[in-house]
Amino acid sequence: MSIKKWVVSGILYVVVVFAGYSLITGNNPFQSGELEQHDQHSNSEIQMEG
Amino acid sequence: MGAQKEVSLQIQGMTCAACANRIEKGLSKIEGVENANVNFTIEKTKVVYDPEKTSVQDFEDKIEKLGYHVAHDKQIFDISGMTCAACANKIEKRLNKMEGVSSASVNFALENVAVDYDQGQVTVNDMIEAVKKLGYSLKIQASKEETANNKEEEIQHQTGKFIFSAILTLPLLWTMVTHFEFTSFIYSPDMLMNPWVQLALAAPVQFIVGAQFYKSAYKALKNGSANMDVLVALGTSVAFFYSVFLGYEWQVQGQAGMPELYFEAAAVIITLILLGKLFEVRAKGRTGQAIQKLLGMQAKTARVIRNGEEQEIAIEEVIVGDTVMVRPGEKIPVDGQIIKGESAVDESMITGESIPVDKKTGDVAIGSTINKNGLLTIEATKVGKDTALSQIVKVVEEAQGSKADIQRVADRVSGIFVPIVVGIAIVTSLVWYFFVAPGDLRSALVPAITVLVIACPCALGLATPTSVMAGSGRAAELGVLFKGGEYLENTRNLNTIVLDKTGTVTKGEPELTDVLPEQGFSEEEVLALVASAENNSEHPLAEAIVRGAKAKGVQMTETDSFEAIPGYGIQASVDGKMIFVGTRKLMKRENIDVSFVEDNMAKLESDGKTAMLIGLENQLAGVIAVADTVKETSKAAIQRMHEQGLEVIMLTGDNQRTANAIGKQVGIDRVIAEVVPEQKADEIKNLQLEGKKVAMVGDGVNDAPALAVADIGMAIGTGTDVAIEAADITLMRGDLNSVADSVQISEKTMRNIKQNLFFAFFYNTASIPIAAVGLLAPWIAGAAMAFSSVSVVLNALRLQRLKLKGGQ
Repeated sequence: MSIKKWVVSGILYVVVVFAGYSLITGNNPFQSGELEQHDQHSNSEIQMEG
Repeated sequence: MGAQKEVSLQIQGMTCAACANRIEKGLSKIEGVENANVNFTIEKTKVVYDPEKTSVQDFEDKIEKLGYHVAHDKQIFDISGMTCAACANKIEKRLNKMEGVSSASVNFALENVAVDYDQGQVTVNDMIEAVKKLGYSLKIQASKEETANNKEEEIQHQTGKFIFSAILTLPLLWTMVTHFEFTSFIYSPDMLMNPWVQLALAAPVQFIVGAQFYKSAYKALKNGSANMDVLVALGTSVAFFYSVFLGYEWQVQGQAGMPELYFEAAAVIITLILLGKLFEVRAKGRTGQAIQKLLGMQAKTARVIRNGEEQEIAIEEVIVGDTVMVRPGEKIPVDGQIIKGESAVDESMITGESIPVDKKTGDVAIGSTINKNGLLTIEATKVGKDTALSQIVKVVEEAQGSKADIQRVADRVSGIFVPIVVGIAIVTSLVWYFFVAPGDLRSALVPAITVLVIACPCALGLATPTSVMAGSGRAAELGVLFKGGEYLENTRNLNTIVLDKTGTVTKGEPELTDVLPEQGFSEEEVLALVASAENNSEHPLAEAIVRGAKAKGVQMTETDSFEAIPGYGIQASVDGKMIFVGTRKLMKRENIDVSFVEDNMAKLESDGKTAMLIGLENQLAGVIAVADTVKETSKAAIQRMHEQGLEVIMLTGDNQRTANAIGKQVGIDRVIAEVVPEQKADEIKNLQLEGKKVAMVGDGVNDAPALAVADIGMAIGTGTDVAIEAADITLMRGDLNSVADSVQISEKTMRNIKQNLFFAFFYNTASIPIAAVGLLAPWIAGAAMAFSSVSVVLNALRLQRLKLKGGQ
């Protein structure tokens, strides 16, 4: 497959995921700040128990 | 007794029926050999043997031990499907185990395998099938253009996959970047936090782009081994499926909060490894640039005179004997002899010598060199595969595909590395799960994933071949051709350089230096007589006298008679007078008193000249001296060798006094003189017995036995003069600086290999404990792993810009 085909497929796929999310949930895919703060990614540090 | 087997071997080096008998007897003595029959005419032996008691390898060893050589068929195959050094190891081991295969050497960087085999015992198809069973594909090496096209196609495909993977990974990376407190101000759509959206984005990366890792890992595991793809597939799959499980848990628990997922780690690792591989492939292509450069030097067309007309034809159509015209500024198309014209020729592409060489009628012209300023007419003597350039390309290709001993160690290490790493990853997760963070599966899995990803040994497989390719390529550009990786590796261990005198330290072209007439004779008179007599001889000393006389404008006359007296000199009759030219012994035989010129003789000899006495009738007419002049570069080159800590010895057949004089002139440490050519090899052996690592430098023709006995044999010459096949290292520039260059190139290449092994090996081993204690995020491990390969290749590429101290 040519580079161009891979690029187009990638972009189309992301668009489909975004559109699919919007269709299924009815939410605006670009909406931000509605979710509660979740755990920080802390996998790269050793958790020290106090 | 088991079933008998029969094998047929092609033998080289037999000169008579006695050789055939010797081999036959030798083979018959091997236990398990029922019958051995050697056919001298077709140079083949047939051996009937019991395979339970002996093997073909035993026969080959025996034949080699007897001083003959078993000829093998040679084939280079392109390999596809290899991902790391462990794959290369596996293929090499499988082929080497096949009956009829004498040796198989896989070059991971070039993605090919060179096989020496016996067609009578194993076929190309057998080898292709055997490798296919391992999960790789073997194809007879295609033309260079086809191989290049296939590689370019593969690069295009991998680039496309990488971009596709990057497009899907970027949104995942986006959410990850905004996870940290200090980056929380960055806008990030909420939908990207959704586990199912993340799954939708990560799945194609994991299973479409990452399919190549699964396929390769499956093939490797099916054959009971493990390669880097096993680590990548295992590490990313654990991250991916654990995230799927967390997503499911989140869904079941009513979508409360947002779980900590690792889809982005899996996708980023795969994307970065692809990027690393792309860089690696492109850089690997550049390490083989030397060959492309050499091939690019060739002229495409030639102007030949056919049927009295000048025609421009393709280079492939030129045949030996064609008369070729070369105009100023044009490339000389093929090797040949100049039959008309004079010009300066730039031979730097072949010899590495930057100063153009003056060429005249009778001189040899090397194909692909550039005619600078005169019109040359050349008779083609070598075309196609026989030209100097084609031979150089062949030697460089073979050297680049060969293995240095240090690589075998690296191969062994990388072969056992993967199972060890998988073991460490399992132990890491168990330690975390039971001791560090009891019951916390997340805490146990992340360090294990990181260990798996960080420890991929792909850089280890690239460390040596890339340096050997870049080092031998650069050496070729400098006029030094290493026959194989082992010579590139071992040259730096030398501590003694033995130089042949004539043609190596000296120019090999004696010149007339002194004419000392006795009282009653003029210089011109003596020279005319001697030159007239010597004009009948083909001895190099006679030619030097005749050349010198002609240069001085001396008129020569016809001789009435001429006789060469081996070991004494010559006698001739010129204008009715008998003239004798030669040694003291000759004069003594003719009862001519020479005692009063002894001082002059001694002085000339201690100046490194060959002095000859001239007798006219029964009276001494004078002394004439000829000297082989020292090459302008010899003294400085020997000085460089001393600076490198090398002892420099000169080995010559000349008399001790002359040899000492030459030795002193150029700074030789030790002179071994009056050695006949057959004894040179013994002298080398004696030096080796003193514990020295010896390189013999000679012209490659007369010194062949000494070159073979030495730890490293170096043939020195200019362009086509030098016999490339004769030595371990060929010095194309007839300049002793090349000896110092070869030692320096060897040192620098080995340093580069060690740096690479350090980058690759210590990087891997040092990173594992850091990953195991949880100080590395998996995606950082992926990036670091990918770039370790790139750093190794880039370090090897530095050799292409290698500058030599005091050299070129």
